Amino acid sequence: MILAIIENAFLSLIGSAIPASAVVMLAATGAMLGERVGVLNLGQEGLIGIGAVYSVIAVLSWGVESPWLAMLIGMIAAAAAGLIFAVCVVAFRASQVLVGLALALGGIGLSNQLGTNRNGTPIQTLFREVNPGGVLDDNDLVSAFLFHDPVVYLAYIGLPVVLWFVLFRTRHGMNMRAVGENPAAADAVGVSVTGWRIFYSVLGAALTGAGGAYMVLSFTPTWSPDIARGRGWVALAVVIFAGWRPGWAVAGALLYGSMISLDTTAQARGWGLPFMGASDLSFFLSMLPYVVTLVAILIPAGAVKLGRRVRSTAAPAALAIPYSREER
Amino acid sequence: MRSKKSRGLFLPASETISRRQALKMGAAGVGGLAVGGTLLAACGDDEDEAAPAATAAPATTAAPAGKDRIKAHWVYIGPPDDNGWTQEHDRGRLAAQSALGDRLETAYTPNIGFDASTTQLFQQLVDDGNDIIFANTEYAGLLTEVTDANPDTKFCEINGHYYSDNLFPFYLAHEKTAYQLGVAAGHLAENGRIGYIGAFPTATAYNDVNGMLLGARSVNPDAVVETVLVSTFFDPQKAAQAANALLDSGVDFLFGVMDEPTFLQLSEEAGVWTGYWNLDFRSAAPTKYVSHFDLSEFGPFYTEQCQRVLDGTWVSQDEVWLLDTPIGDFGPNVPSDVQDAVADVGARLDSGELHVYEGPLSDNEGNERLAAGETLDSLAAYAIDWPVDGVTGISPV
Repeated sequence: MILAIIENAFLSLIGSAIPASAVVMLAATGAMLGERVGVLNLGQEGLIGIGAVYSVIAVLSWGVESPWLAMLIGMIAAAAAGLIFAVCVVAFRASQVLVGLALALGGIGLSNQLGTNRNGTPIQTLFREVNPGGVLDDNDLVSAFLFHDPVVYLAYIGLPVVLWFVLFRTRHGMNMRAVGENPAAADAVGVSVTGWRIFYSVLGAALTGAGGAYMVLSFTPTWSPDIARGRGWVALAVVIFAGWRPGWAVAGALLYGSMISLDTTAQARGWGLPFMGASDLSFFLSMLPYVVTLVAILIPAGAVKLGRRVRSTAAPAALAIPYSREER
Repeated sequence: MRSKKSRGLFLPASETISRRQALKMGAAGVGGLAVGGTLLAACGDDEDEAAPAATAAPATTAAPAGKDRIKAHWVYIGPPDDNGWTQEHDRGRLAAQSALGDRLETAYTPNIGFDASTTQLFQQLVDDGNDIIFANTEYAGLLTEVTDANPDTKFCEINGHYYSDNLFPFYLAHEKTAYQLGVAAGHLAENGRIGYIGAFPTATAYNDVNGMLLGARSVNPDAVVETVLVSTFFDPQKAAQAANALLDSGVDFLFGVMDEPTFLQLSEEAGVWTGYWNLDFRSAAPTKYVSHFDLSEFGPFYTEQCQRVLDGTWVSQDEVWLLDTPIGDFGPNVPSDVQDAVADVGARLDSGELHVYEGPLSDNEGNERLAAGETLDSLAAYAIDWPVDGVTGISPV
């Protein structure tokens, strides 16, 4: 009985957490890609907005009828913003923190401006959920994990596997990590630090843009101002929680997603404390994802402090440090 | 030193501005968010002071002579293209504009939230010479600070709770509309489970869920209303999560007070009947659309208020000005007998033969609120603060 209730609770949470945090997963993968080569892009929040608004424009104004094409357009727009960022911080060696913050705030403003007159208009060009024929669709366990759209599987399985393989199983990935850990050494063996950093931060920006596109092409099919609403910042936290490892980012994103779904799921299912219903806890529950994010980051750090051996949580050594050949 | 500097920054060149206003604007600039917090916290106190403030300055109401031409301004919580609440207000503004033509100059400011800059905005609008200012959400203390300091400018605040010689609230008698939609839901929802996405536990939400439940129970005595509150009127992501949570739990009718139609799309996908607050939005749910609350009375209201300012006959009110809120056109798949039943109930509500709130009624914590035979009219419903028995997910205040 108790077990069934817990299983039911877990499934309704995870079932809504998976799509809810696919955007966090995509943005975290994008941010991780840049950070692995030493570029910290705090502008995730703005990139999500830019990716989302250009997908909306593609569908509503340019008549694009394929969600994949609309997403590609959003990714290109975010990549263009990422290129501006990369040129500033890599070529001109501007402060990554300052330019990143400018990108975050500027991207939100730009996307809100472009979204004017498109607020709340329903988007009909949508990713459809994969529906594996013949599988029981009454089974909660199956439906919680199976009936999602293809982007969800790419975000949680495809991308992390590819990124893990490239980073840790190929020579190219070793060079990438070298650019992030010790750019002078990478430079000495003939890797173009500037070129790699620009390339991967642009690619990372495109992935974050895909997260924004996913929001408007599947999760909530309409434009609204400030669309990212903190998901970009959470993605940055997920990267730290994951210790810059793609697999752990999945866990981080799902943890965050469960917490964000808890608010509405708890109310709809009538969960609550004996003395207080879920609706009275609404503000507390909407705060919970950020508290959990904080705790999730502090636990590994605290464990290290206490001398416990934990998985490596160290950031790439050259993260956020501009590289100059003359100064090495 | 610091306050001197900021006063220099914020004091306009105009000589007509009073010292009190200047100090206030300086303080708002320096205090920033802190002042915003204080203002919000102070809202409750303001209401208590309303009565003495109103009686202290009776002379200012002496109606000025009519004017040839006036300026009116609208302050919006959201964008005027939200396909919802603010869009309907902007339609009302345009209706007033076209009715009064050259004699009325209108403008609006969109996306105004709740912080100290809102108060500065209202003061700026007064300084710009607006004769009447409309607010399409309740700004409470953020607005009343300015209305009290500028008795010559008229204000109307929707869903407000502050009355003075130059400010009165207006709103919609929507508990009747909710009752009619509830009747439709009672017929259409097979299991009688109605989902509701609300924003805050206010009278708006109580009248929605109570009307829906009582209307549905007039058809199906087992009907229930399950509520999720999302603490916002415009956040499609949150609305989608709430809609998914309710749909997953098995509701067979979904309604909400959201200012955008995301939950309609999700209902359509789930094959669940749905309706909308603000306007006809069947395009978001082509086959499962039931109806909406028709807000087209804003146009006549705004026109009348502007006309009164033009004529010099504008006077404040001592109770809320409630607008009729008829139920809108039905979606294509609503059976005609259901449509007829709803129309019949509407006529009986209008004639006074039927009441939305008629005792015996208890709240959902088991306390009796209305004795047998007792009724609440729309003015009393405007202040209601309890959900009737059968509503879950929202508690009495």
